[in-house]
This record gives sequence, structure tokens and C-alpha cells, in this order.
Amino acid sequence: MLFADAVAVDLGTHGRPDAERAFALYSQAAALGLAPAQLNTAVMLDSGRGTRHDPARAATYYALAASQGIARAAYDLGQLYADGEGVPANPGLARAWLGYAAARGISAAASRISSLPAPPAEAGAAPSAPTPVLPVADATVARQDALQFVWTAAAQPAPARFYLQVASLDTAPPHDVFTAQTDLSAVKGAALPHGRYAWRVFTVCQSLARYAASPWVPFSL
Amino acid sequence: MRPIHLASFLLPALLAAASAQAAPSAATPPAAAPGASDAKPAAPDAIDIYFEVGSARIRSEDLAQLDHAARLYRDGKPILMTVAGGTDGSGSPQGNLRLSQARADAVFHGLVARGIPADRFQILAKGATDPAVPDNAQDARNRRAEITWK
Repeated sequence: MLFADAVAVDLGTHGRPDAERAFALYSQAAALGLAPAQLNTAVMLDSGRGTRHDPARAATYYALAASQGIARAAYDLGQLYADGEGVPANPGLARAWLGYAAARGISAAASRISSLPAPPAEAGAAPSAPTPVLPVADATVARQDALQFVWTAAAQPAPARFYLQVASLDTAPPHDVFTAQTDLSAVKGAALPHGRYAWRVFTVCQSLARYAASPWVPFSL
Repeated sequence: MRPIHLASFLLPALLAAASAQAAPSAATPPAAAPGASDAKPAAPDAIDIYFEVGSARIRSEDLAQLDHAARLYRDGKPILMTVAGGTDGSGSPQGNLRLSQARADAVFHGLVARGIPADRFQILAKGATDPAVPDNAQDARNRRAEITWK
């Protein structure tokens, strides 16, 4: 309903189109986990319609929508990683998101992948840790069907994957309640009960037998 | 916080990772590069794709323009994207009409390939009847497809 209201305001179905109001409504619906609203919030941040141009926040919302299967969000996020716009330039993540989009019907993604730099040569440099984005530290997250995690990462010295770890802080000792491996920079996780948690994410370079972990990020549900 | 042990997750992660593993024509206007910084201007009201003489092929440097246009499309808006193909004043009216249709079609297919729903498009073939530069029918800027939306 909130999304339908936002679209009506955006289109001006019941009066003058109001992009700023539409952005506010899309943002509210996005916070509830609605994927089309996350896409529209991203597009408006990306294009500067209804709000200030903010490619970093656009990338976050694209990641949220893409991790729920919105192919166009994945294609747009892949472009941001390819160009280093709002996120670190990272051909590996660009390739991963564009591949995700291509597998879901965005045929232009395949040609965009072919224009990316070749994967990095194996080198002695260590991988760098990802930067957690969402949930932010000490946030109280509105309970959703499945919690979403987003991070960014710089280009790595070798092909890399990511390992997400979510631990409950309500037990002694803390224990893992959710883990995931991915080539992407966002994960839609399992539904979790109310409680205190912390999450972190690792860059894992298998070929170098090296990894780097982000700091723990505490949050509550 | 519990320490991380390689045996608990890193080695499986490593094993899993192991298994997973043209220059523009001088006679044709350059593509207007979309902004790439916080100083990016507000979204434009129209985007033009330019073509070589007699060609309906989208130049590689203009693919970014298609991406730019696709990144303006949110779920539900615009209701309608119009792609209007045009030509310069050389050639016959019939040939120009066909060429302008082919240019509009090329842009349409490029946008659909970027995930824009095909049923949101209006495709127009204008031949040489609506030049961008009316005072000079041969101007390269008339060899274009214009993307607008509402």
C-alpha cells in the first residue's frame, strides 16, 4: 500500500507529481524491505530526482534490491563498481553483480562484463577487509522476513569471495546464527528472532590462502 | 567475541571459492558522458544517441548513454519512454524514413536489453523531418535518436 501510494505521488495520479514526497515514501517502504521501493529509492538517489544525487547511498539501495532478485538493480550496481562511483572501483564485484544481472535476463550485462579489466594476477599483496554498510553499528533494525546485509570492498589482489558471519550476543559464549558465502556484496539472510546480534564479513582470497575480516558490527532486532 | 578458527569456516570457504571460480568519428558528435561525481547535474530531460553517416549501429562509446537512460527508469515511472529516430538531410525521404526507424529500433532494443519493459516505449521514425539543427540539414547532430520520457 505504501509503495502504491508512493507511485501515485510520483506519477501525480491524484494531483501534481511530487518527486520529493515520492522519494520519502519510497524510502519508508524500502526500510520495510520492499524490493521495488529499494530500487526506486536507489534510482532517485542515482539520478538526483526528488533528492540530492548520492551515489554511495544509491549503491546501498541497489544492493538491497539486487539481493532480493531485482536484476536491473544488480546491473546498475555493477556499473557503479565498474566505474568506482559511490563505491570503490572493484572489477571483481562489478563482474559478480553484472553476472548476476545477466543470469536474470539483463542481456546488456554480458557485453559490459567483457569490457571489464581482466581478473587480477596472483600477487603477494594481502586482501583488504570489506567495509560493513548495513545494518549500521548499534542500529535497532525493524524486524523483517529476512534481514539484509550490505558491504563494500576495494579491488583485491586476487579473485575474492566474501564470508558473512552473524552471531547472537544473547548467549554465552556468542554463537553463529547465520553464515553465508558469496561473490556479491549483499546477502538476504534468514529471519531472526528479537535479540542482540553482531555481524562481520571477510574477504577470502582462496588462491592466496589469505583472508581479512571487517570489525564486528553490533545491532539489535 | 568468539575467536575465528580456520577449521570452522575459512577452509570450507576457501575450498568453495576454489570450485567457483572505438574511437568516435570526427564527423559525429561525441557521446555526452554522464556525470560521475557528486557534482552530477540533475537528471536530464532528454538523451541523444548519435550515429555515423548511413548507420544505425550504436557506437561503443554511446553504450554508456543507454546505461544512463536506463538508470533514470524507476519501477512505475516514467510511464512512457519515447525513442524518436532521425537523419540528416542527405538521401531520399524513403531511405531516411527507413534509416530513422532502424536507429530508433536500435536504441529501443538497447534499452530493453537493460531491463526497461518493452511495453513502456513509443517508437517514432521521423526521417529528416525534425532535425536537431534546422539551419543545417547536413549537420551531424541530426543523425540521432532522441530518448524522452514522461
